[in-house]
Formats: sequence, structure tokens, C-alpha cells
Amino acid sequence: MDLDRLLKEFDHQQFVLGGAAGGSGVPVIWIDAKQLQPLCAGLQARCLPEFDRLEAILCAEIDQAIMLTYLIKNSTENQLLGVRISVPAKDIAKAVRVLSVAHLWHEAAAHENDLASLFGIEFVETSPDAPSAEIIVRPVAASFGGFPMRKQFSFSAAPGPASPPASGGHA
Amino acid sequence: MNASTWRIGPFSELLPGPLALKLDLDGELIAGAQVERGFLHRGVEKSFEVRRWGAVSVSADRVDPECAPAYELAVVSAVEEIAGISPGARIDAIRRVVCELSRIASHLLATVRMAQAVGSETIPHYLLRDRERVLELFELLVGNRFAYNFFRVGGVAAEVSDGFCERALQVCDLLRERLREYNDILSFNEIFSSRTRDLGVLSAADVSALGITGPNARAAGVAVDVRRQAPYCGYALVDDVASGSNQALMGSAHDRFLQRLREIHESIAIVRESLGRAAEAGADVLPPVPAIPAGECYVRVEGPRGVIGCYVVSDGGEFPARVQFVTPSLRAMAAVPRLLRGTRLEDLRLLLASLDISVSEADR
Repeated sequence: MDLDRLLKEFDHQQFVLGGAAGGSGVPVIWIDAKQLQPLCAGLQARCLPEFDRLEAILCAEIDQAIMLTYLIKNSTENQLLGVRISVPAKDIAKAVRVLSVAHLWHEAAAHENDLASLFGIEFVETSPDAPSAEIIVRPVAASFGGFPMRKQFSFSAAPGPASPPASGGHA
Repeated sequence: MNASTWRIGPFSELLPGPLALKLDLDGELIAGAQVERGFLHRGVEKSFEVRRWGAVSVSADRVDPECAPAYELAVVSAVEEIAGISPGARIDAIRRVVCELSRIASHLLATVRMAQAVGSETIPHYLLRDRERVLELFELLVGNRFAYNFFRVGGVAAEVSDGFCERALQVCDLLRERLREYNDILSFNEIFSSRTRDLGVLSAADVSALGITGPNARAAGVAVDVRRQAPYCGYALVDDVASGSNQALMGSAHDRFLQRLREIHESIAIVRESLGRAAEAGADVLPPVPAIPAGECYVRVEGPRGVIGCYVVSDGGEFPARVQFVTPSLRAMAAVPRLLRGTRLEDLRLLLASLDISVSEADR
């Protein structure tokens, strides 16, 4: 099945992300977050040429929404395609939930771990085929009391590192 | 069977940086490994959001000081793409010279770490002596040996210094001679050769599955090089860009060492070719910082350790809305548990050195 035929099964918007690959840009498909796993599974297994690798998960917070762009790659033709979802993130203290794609592309686990604690994203794994955790990322958010990469996070309100008083602790 | 579990790190001379390893040992044989990272997180990506567009290079230098120019190039290229700026052939040539010199310095340091890991005491001094010549070139051109802060949106920070091109050509000639010596003293060194020949074999299938790029991938016979496959910064005009992989290499630690030597040779050729263009008289190298319109962009450049991806989002304001890097060391780190299984404990340091992982760029 070619890409255009596969995309007819999903409500989507399409645009080109500037840059990459010598300035030619990357076509991006923007879909509803619920359609992430079915579309990715289709791109990996049903699409010809198959998108067999995940290059990166790009993440940005725009207008109180976390925007995730999965850059997937057809390694035969060195072709990049972006799949974008957006999830509301109005509550600074609450992690957002996104379905994991690590069972489809095992390299996704490293990228998901990289973003999870900083942005407050809980990547939910629903498949028994997910890779076992061989790389553990030390959570940084616990000491910050929040998700430091979020726009609303206030560094001035975060507890600073423990340090002795200027007097050196002597009265 | 004498099974035990060891935890090494986060600070140990066996490791390339702050990193923790949990090793399941069967005697001296590593039966399983788990990596814990995140000890060196400094919030570099967040720091972009509080600095103006003109200062993006300052933050980019902090991602990985050993290959700072590649990160500077990635971020300024992305910003130029959003702003629709084309810096011109001469600026491209100056940037190529700086990036390739940094690749040479980085590969020399990776070789130093491998030599140290096999217990060599003299050879690292030779390599560091020659790396010093490259760092002196940076000092002459930029004023700094590290944290160059040299690339600007649409240009570079300063004109090429008097005498830089001549000195750079001399260093290229010197390094070309020395490459033969490095090959002789390491490739034909029985201790180095026998310890690295079959160590940490990374197959082409592993490379593809883990998304590994750079010299680690090319040493496994996988021809991935963004300079060739999706040329940027005028690399399409350069004849000596790496032709990719050598099928004779099988992905062992020794092959990774050889691949880096080969790439130093290629970088010397690119520097020589680009210097001619860089020395030409041309337009001002330092243009005023333009207003950056709203937009987003993803670019890829070939850093010394592999492909660096850079995602930049602008909301049309004075500061970047988001800058994100996709780093090669993050991918190389994913290979560590797999490669460590079946390795002897004594080879741990050598194997990690051969992968040339930078914890700084992985954690950011």
C-alpha cells in the first residue's frame, strides 16, 4: 500500500517542516493523538516503502499544548516523514499521557525517556512487545518539583540547591 | 559459576563521563548490563529560551565542548532556514574549515582514550601533542581553544586572522605525516591490535536497529554520512567528502579506530580544499542579527560522533521558543548493554572508549 492510500484512512492535515536534508523540508502529517499508534503501525507494516526507523521525537510546548513530532525514516530511500500530535498541557503540575511507540521502533524508548521527566509526558506502553529497559534515565523533575521544560515552570519558585548560610553556619 | 552484581559510577575512570553501569557478572565475564544516565543534565536546551537569537552559539557550545562547531552550525543553519538567509559560499567555506578541524581534534582525542585504555603511556602524548596544534589554530582564528562562539546567524564572528590559512596548511601537512605514524604505532602494536580486533563487534544490523550514525556506523560497513547524502554548508562542492563506509570493516573496536584515522585524512583534504575559498576576499563576515519570523525547522549536520539533528521553533519573538538537539551519543549509548554482554570486565573501558560516547551531549 502506498502512503497516500494509507493516509486516506486517517483524518489529517499535511504541511512541510522546513530544513532537513539539505533544505528540502520534511512532509509532516498532523493527526489526532488517538490515531498515533494505528497510523504508525500502518506506516511500519503496511506502507511500501516501509518506514522502518524512528530518527527522533521532537517536542515543543506551543500555546499550552505539548506538540510531539515523530520523525520516521524509510532507510532504503533515506526518506523522512513527520507524524505530529498535540496534547493539551494546561496544568503545570500534571503529566500528559501519550501512547508509546517503542514496541514499533525500539529506538523510540531512548527518545521517550529523554523527554518524559523534563516535559511531564507519560508514555503509556500498551504492547507486550515493548523493549526491556536497558537504559534508565535519572529523573530530574523530582528535585525541581515540576516539569522544567514547560513554559509555565518558574525557576525562581523552584527550590535551589542546599548551601550553607553566608555566615558559614556560626552565630 | 561465581555470579555477582556490580554497580560502577556515576564517577569512575572506567566511564566516559558521569554515568552508572549495573553489571551482572559471571566471574570476570559481563553477563548483563544496564545503563543509568542523566547525571549531567544541565538544561542546555532550556537556556536557549532565555537568550536572544544573536546568542544561540553560546548555548550550542555547551552541548558538547569537544565538537562545539557542529552544534553551532546546526543551530545557526536552522535559524537561517527559518529566516530565509543564505550565508554565501565564503562563509560556508570558513564554517567547513572550523567544523573539520574540530572533527580532527575530536577523533584524535577518541584515539587517545583508546590508547590510554590499553595502558599505553607514550602514544597518548604523541596524539595530544598534535591535537594541540589544531587547538592552537582555533586560538588563532577564534581566540578560544574551547567554547568558540564563532558562528553567527548569516555569518561568522570575525574575519579570518592573518596567517591562519598558512598555519592551517602547515598543520594539515604535519598531520598527514603523523597519521602514518599513528597507524604504525597502534595498528601494528600487538597489544593494541589483539585487544581491539574482536572487541565490541557492532554489526550493520545493530547499527540500523539502534539508529547509530557517524564513525561507529561507518566502521560497521553502513554508509551513512549527511555531508554526502544530504549536503549542507557547501559540502556538495567539495570533492573529498567521506565516501561512506568501507566494506572491509566489520564493526570491531579496531575498525572504529581505523575509521577515525581514515576520517582525519578526509577532513585534512576538506580543510585544504576549503581554505582556498575561505582566504578569498569577500563580503563582510558578520552581518547584523536579522528579525527571525515565526516558523520551525529541523536540520541535520554530520558531527564528529555522528548525525546531529537540531529542531528550532520561532514564535516571531526576540528569543527562540524551542531548541532541541538529537544527539549521536544518545543512540550510541543504546548499544552499550548489547555490546557489553559477553565482554570481559578488563575490556569495559576500552569498549566504551572505542564508541566515543559523550555523556555531555547525551544528557545536555
